[in-house]
Amino acid sequence: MKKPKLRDTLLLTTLWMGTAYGAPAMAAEPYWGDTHVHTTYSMDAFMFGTNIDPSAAYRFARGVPVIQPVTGAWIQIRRPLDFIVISDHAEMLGVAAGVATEESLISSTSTGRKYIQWFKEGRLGDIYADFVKVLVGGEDTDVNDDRIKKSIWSRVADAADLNNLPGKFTAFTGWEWTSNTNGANLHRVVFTPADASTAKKFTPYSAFDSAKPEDLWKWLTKIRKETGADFVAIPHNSNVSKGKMFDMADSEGRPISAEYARNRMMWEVAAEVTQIKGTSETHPALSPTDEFAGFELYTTLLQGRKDGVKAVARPSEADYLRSALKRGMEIQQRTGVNPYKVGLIGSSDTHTGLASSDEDEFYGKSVIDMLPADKEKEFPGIPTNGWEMSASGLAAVWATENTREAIFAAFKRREVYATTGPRIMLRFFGGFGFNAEDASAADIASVGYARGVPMGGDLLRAPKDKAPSFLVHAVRDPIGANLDRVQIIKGWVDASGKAQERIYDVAWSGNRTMDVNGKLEAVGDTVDTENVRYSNSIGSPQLSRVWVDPDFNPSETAFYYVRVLQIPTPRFSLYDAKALQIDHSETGQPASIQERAYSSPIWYNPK
Amino acid sequence: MRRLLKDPFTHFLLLGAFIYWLYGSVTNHGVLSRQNEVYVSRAQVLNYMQYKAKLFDEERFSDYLSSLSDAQKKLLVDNFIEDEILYKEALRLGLDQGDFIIKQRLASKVRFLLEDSASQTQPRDNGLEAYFKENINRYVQPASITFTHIFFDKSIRGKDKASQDAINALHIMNEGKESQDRLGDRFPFLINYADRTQRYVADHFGESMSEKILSLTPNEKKWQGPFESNYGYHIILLYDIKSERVPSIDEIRPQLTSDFLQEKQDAALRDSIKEVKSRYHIRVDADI
Repeated sequence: MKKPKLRDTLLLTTLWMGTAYGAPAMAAEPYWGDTHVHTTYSMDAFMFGTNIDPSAAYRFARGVPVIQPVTGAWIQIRRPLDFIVISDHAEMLGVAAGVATEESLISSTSTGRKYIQWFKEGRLGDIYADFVKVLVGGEDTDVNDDRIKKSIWSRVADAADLNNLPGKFTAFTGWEWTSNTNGANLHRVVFTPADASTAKKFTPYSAFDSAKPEDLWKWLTKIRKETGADFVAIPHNSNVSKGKMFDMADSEGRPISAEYARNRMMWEVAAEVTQIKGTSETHPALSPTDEFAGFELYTTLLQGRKDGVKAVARPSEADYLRSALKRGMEIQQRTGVNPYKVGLIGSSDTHTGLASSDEDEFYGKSVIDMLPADKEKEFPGIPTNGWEMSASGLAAVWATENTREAIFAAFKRREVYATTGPRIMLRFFGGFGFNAEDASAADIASVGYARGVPMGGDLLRAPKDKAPSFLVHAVRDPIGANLDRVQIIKGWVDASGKAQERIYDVAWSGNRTMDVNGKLEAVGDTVDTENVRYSNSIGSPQLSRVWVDPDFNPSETAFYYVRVLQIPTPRFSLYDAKALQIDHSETGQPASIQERAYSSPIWYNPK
Repeated sequence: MRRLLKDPFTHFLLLGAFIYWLYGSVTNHGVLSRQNEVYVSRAQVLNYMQYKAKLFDEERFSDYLSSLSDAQKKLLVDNFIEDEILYKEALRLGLDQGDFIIKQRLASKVRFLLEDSASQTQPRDNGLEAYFKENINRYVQPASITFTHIFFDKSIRGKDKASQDAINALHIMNEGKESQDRLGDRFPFLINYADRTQRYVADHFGESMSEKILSLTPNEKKWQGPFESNYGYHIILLYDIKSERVPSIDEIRPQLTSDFLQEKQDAALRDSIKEVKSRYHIRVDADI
C-alpha cells in the first residue's frame, strides 16, 4: 500500500461544509489513457512508416518531446496521458524491424527472405498486403517464429517496466490478438498488470496460434494459472466484424452457452465503443429513432478489393455495442449468464505510436495519412484513406491511484468510460434512494458511492414500488467545448423475451424545450468554417440530474448507460482542409461534429 | 584434344578470350580482375531461381532443378549468366554510380551495420552524474501549487452578486464564523488542487487567475481573494507553492539511465559515422 498522496488527503478533509466525505478514496478526477497504441514493432505500423518504438511511444504519452516520423520536427503532447497500453500485433511481432536490419533469425525463414527482398525493392505495400492476406487467410507462416517473438517481447516488457512510474504514469505490458479470418475483425487488445519478469514467462498469444476467441480465453486461463499474470481482453472495431464480434453463436456455430459466457466474461470486461476506425456504439439502421446514431461511422472492411470492388460492412446487431448489450440480456434469459456484460472505453488504435485523439492534435491513423496533404492517399491493400478516419478514442478510469494495480482493478469492475477525445468528466451512479437535490450536491461522488453503485455495477431486485434513480454529473473538458446534453440510454428485455431500447434526454443546456414527440431542440452550431473556430456561447460547462426511470418494470432485466454530447466543434478534417487551402467538402466529411462521452452501463437484475 | 586445338573455331574463341582479357586488364589499370569471371554453381542457380520466383523454399527448388531436362537447365543457366554479365557490365560502365536508389540502399545498409555495432555499447554507470549535470534542464520539475477554493458562479448568481457574495464569504471564513448556509457553488472541476502545475491550474481557471495565484504568499490560515475566473469568483486558501526544482539522481534513476544509454548509443553511431567520414576528403561548393 502506498502512502496516501496529499491530493487524496485533501479530498478527505472537510474544510467548511460540514459534510463528511464517505466516498472511498477515489481520485477527484478520472485517469486518462489509451489502451491501444501500435508502434514500429507492429508489422503494419512499420510498413506504413513509423519509427516510433515503444520507448518513444511511452515518452510521447508521458509528455516528453519526440521526433515526428515524417517531418523530423520535435513534437510534444499538449496534455500527457495518465496510463497507456502499447498493443503491438502479436502476429509477426517485431518481424518488420528485423526485415529492415536483415536479422539472422528473420533471414533464416523463407518468408523472412521474401520480405527482405521486397523491402530492398521498396515494396513495403506488398509486404503489408501479404501480412493482411496471411491474417485474412488465417494461416500460419514460418516467420511467426517463437525465438523472434521472444526477443522482441522481452524488449516490450522491459520498456513497460522502465516507463511505469507508480503514482505518476502507468505503463501496461500488452499486445493485440489479431484474428481476422475472412476479413472479419475479431481483434482484441490484451494487457496485464504483471511486471516484466512475469511477462517474460510467456510470449503473446497470436491469431496464428488460433483465430478463435475461445482458444484465446483458454490460453489466458492457463497462463494465469502458470505464471500468476492476470489479463483484460478488449474487443474492438466490432463495427467491421461482419456480424461476428457479438454473435448469437460461438466459433463452431453452436448457440452461446452459459460456459461460453462465463469464459468470455472472465476476460472481456470492456470493449472499445469509439476509436480512429469509427464508432461501434450503434448504427442508424439498428437504432432508427436515435437522431445521434449516424456519428463517425466506419464501414471499410479490413480486406482488399474483390474484383475491383471495395468491401463494405453491412450493419448487423453483432457489430455494435448497444445491440450487443441488448442481446447479451436475451442470451442471459435463455442460459442464465450474460456474455456481453461489457464496460465501454475509447482508445485510439493509432499506428503512429503517437497517442493523441484531439481534433486539433491528431497525427492520423498511420504515417501514411499523418500529414494533411496525404489524407487522400489510399492505404496499401485496404481501400481506405485518412479522411475516413476519426480523431477519436480516450479511456477514462475511476481509480483510487495511478498504479497498474488500481487501474487494472477499475477495469475489472468496469468503472471506466469512453470519450471521443475530449476530457469530459463523467460520474454516473444508480440506486433506489437518490433525491432530486442530490444533483446539486457539492461532491457528487460522496453521495453516489454512499447510496448507489457506480458505472459498471449491478442493481439488484428493486424495493417494492420503487424505480431506480440515477445520479449523473458531466463536466466539459476544461480547455474544450461546452456540453449540449446528457442522455440515458436504456435497454430492456420485454415480456416476449425481445430486447428493446429507448433514449431519454435527462439534462441539457439553456432553456430549450421538447416538442410533442419528446424531441429536444438542437443546441445550435457556432463552428466558423472559414476560420476554423467555435465559441462556448452555447452549451453549458456542467450538467447534472437525478433521473428516475418513468417506464420501470421491476420484473424486466435492463441496462442504463449515459451518453454526453458536446456542442458542435470542428472535425480534424476541417483543420486540415484549412491547412491545405481547400474547401472542406472535398474531404467528404462534415465540417463539425458533436464529440461525446459514453459511460459503462449499470445493469438492473430482477432475480 | 589435338583435333580441338586445330579447330579454327577454337582459335577464334581463344583469340576472343585473349582480346577480352587484354581489354579487361587495360581498363582495370593493368590489374587482372575477377570482374570478368562468371562462376556458376548449383547454389547460385538455386538462389537465382528463388529470387526470380519470389518464393523461398530451397528444398522445393532443388528438387525442381534436378527434375529439369538438360535443355531446360541450359536455358536457366544462360539466363543466369546473362543477368550476371549484364550486372558486371553495369558495374564496369559505372552505372551504379549516381543511381539514387542504389545509393540509398547501400547507405542504409552501412548505417544498419554501424547502428548494430553501436548498440553493443554498454556504458558504465560512472558517467551518469556528468550526463545528469549536462542535461539538467530536461529533468527540472515544474513549479506546483496546492490550494483549495470556494466558488461563486456568475451564471447562477449574476456577476455583481457573485462578486459581493465572495467578498462576504471571505470575511466569514477569515473571522472563523460558522455560516448558516453552505458557502459557494459547485465548481465544474476540482475543489482541491494538490501539487498542480500552473498550466493545469490555468486550464481550469484561466491564465490571469492562475498568474494571480502564483504571485500570492501561501498562508494556511488566511483566505485570499476574491479572484475572477471564466466561471465566476473564487476565494482561495493557498497552502503551498513549490518552485521549480531539480530532482535528485535517485528519484529519476531508471529514466536517467535509459536516456544516458540511448545518448551513448547515439553518440557511438555518430562517432562511427565521423570515423568513416574522416577517411574522405570532402569539398562543398560555397554557393549551395
